[in-house]
Amino acid sequence: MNTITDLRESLEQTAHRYDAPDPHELLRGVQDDIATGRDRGSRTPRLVAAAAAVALVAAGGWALSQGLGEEETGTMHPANTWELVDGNPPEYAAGLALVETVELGASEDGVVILDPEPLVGPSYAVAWCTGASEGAPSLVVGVGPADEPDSGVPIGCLTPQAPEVMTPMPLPELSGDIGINRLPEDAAQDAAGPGTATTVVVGLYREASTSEFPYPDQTEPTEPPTADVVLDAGTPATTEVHLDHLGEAAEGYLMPAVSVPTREGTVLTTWAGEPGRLLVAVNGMVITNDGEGLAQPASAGPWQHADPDLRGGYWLTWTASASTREFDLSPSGLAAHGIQVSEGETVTVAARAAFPRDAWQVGIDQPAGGPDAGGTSGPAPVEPTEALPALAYGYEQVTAVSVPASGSTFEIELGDVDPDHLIWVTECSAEAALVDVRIGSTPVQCSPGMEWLNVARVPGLVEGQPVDVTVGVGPEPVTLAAYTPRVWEDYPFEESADPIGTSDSAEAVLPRPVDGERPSELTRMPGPAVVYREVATVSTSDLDADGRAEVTVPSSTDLSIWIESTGVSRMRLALDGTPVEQLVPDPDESVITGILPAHQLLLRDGWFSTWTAESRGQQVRFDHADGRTGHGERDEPTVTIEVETVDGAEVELTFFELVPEDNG
Amino acid sequence: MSRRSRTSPKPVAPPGFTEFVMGRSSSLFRTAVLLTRDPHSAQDLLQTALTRVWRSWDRIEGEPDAYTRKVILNQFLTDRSRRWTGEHPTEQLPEQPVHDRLRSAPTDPARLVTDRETLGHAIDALPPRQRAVVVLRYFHDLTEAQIAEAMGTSAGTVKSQHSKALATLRISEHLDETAPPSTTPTGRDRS
Repeated sequence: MNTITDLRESLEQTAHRYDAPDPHELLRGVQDDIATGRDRGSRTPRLVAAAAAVALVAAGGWALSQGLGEEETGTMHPANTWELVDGNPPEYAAGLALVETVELGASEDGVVILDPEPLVGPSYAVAWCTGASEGAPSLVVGVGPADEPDSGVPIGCLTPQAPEVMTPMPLPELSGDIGINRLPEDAAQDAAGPGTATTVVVGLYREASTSEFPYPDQTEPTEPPTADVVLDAGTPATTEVHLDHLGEAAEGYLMPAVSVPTREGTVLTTWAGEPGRLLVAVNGMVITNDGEGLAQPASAGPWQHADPDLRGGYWLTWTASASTREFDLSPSGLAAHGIQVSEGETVTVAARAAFPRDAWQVGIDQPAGGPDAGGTSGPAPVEPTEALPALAYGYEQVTAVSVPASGSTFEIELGDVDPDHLIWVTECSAEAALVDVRIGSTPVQCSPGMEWLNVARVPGLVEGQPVDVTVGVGPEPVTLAAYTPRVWEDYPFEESADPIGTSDSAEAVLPRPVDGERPSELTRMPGPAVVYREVATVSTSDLDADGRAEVTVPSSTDLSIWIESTGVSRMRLALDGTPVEQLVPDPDESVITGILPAHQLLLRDGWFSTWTAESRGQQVRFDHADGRTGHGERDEPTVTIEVETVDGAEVELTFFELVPEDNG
Repeated sequence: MSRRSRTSPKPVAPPGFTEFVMGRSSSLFRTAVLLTRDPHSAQDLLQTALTRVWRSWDRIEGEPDAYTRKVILNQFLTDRSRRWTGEHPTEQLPEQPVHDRLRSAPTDPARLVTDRETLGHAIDALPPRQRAVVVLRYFHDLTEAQIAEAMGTSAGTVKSQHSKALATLRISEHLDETAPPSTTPTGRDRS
């Protein structure tokens, strides 16, 4: 259990993890919102001030050609493509918000926008041409500072026939008046051809904020495309990824990741089936980036590379339908992001995503005819080890395989066993500790010395079918072992190992309680001390001819039983008539899905046993001690004991309560 | 040529608003971070809330801090952009590497398992209303009645959300080694 103090500390840490925004910047943002009416969901504020616009434009020598109405209200819908809506650029599309619209009449070569609304952040332009005859040459307009007409950014025209072929063109930071001109060569072409009557509409856009953008209603995501290697929400996460250029704050990120070789022709494709955002990093460098400096304080990248879909290291998607984007994952392509690798070298691809329904994927495809897409060999059989013995706790090993820690999914065969009855144990080195492992769709974790404390059951496996296993990206492979239960009557106890009892890890099993001493897990807690107090003992000699005994424990506080056995034995225990298997945590409701607590492992069919002929002790605890009062959940419980022994085995049960030290 | 636009001179903030933003935005940002669990979304949320506060500035009765926090809260719980910006468990990173937590883990296997589910990650995964209750209760130290007022709901609903959140986070108030700090009528000032 966690404590309120843990919670407060966690909140405190999170609250102070990020630098607060500069209040001046914040104030400017608020001022912009007020000025533009953005918070009111208006389409754009410029329509409000039609009269002012008329005056302004008139002062510049231009005339309005289209009437302007009152501010329009109502629900906004973003455009799906860059199509004019009733002759106007879309107010919102692809994450952009319309700031200015300029129409260049058929006989006009250029216009100037006087004293425009400030464009904060990256800005873009989209141009539409109408009225041109089919087959007329494409037009290009330049957008740039009004006093430098030759330095305008060339913007290719969208046509009604192909509204989707162009993407918004980034603009330099424009301060002062903005000029929009037909570029001379294209004007000449236009003049010479049938496109003379072409009208150009130019929309100037800024990047819409996520709180402002009118996202479309969500629909059921489509299926993601197939790929040689897939990284998605189900891929095991790893802490091995360090996002180098995000600074210390990025240390220890837990991110799903895969390891893949990079070759000429390797392509990474991001896919999303809904609006959201996705960061992809290769060897710790973010590649979903248009050149921004991502370390705090963040800095803008070159304006020429500004991409409305790449912001703050994320690829953003805006539509309810599928979005994809390709990234060059070849060595030369990665070099453009500052990632130096050689042909065939393995890289780690990690992702961080925020999508409501996890409808995202990173697919990696290798060039046709290349080596295995995963770039790693598959699982390799492993002989029984001390941690993963052939027999333990009433289970017999079915298979054990070493699985590459690449994030890729492999299949392993189980043969003719019922997978619903299997338990799974993982073994790894300290270097690979806590690498995420998935068996089927069930996540398990690996921790050296505590293999049998992480025993898992995996639901949903199909008998006779291979099992998908995936090990998160890590320094070393992880061994997975599947065990099937054996019945008590023909179990080879002499051959059975006790990996929990023999573990080198001090954390593997609770030690025997000592009268008058604090529980080991409470020794670090401040405040009044709680100590064990021994209150009763039952041993083999106390059992009747049927192997039964009953003891009323003189305690009303937290109860622990230390069960010690020498030789083969098993026992049933009941507290106030309730079998203990109903009191200890239910495996179906354990803290991590599928994980069996150690003492749960030793309980089967109502019987508790260590399944070994060796001497063995195990603590079974039924309550969580209250660090201040020691109050337990039962009052002087009666414990019923039924013991079966083989060949004169001995058992001893010692009952402990937890009491405040002063009362001890 | 048609220019379908207007110029928009910078509006002037109402008296006292600029000082309020300069002095309190950092604290308010922390509340927004705890709700959204993401600095970018938090800044968006705060800016949107402050814009609304600007428009209401002259009508605010009492502390603008508490009012703004209420606006933040309301915006967070109703903003449709939150559909993808602030409430997804995979969006957030754990507060520290899992192995760091485990190095200091207790020896009780059951507790070990509990700790493995990092608390920060679990907070990320809370439904928005439960997370809001947790933030207001344990970061701002508001009472359940004050939380109900801030969230515009009943104390019973808050109590229910509170209990569910603690159960989800596997938090036992009885396990706490120190008494919770006493609450003041206005909660704690989290600067």
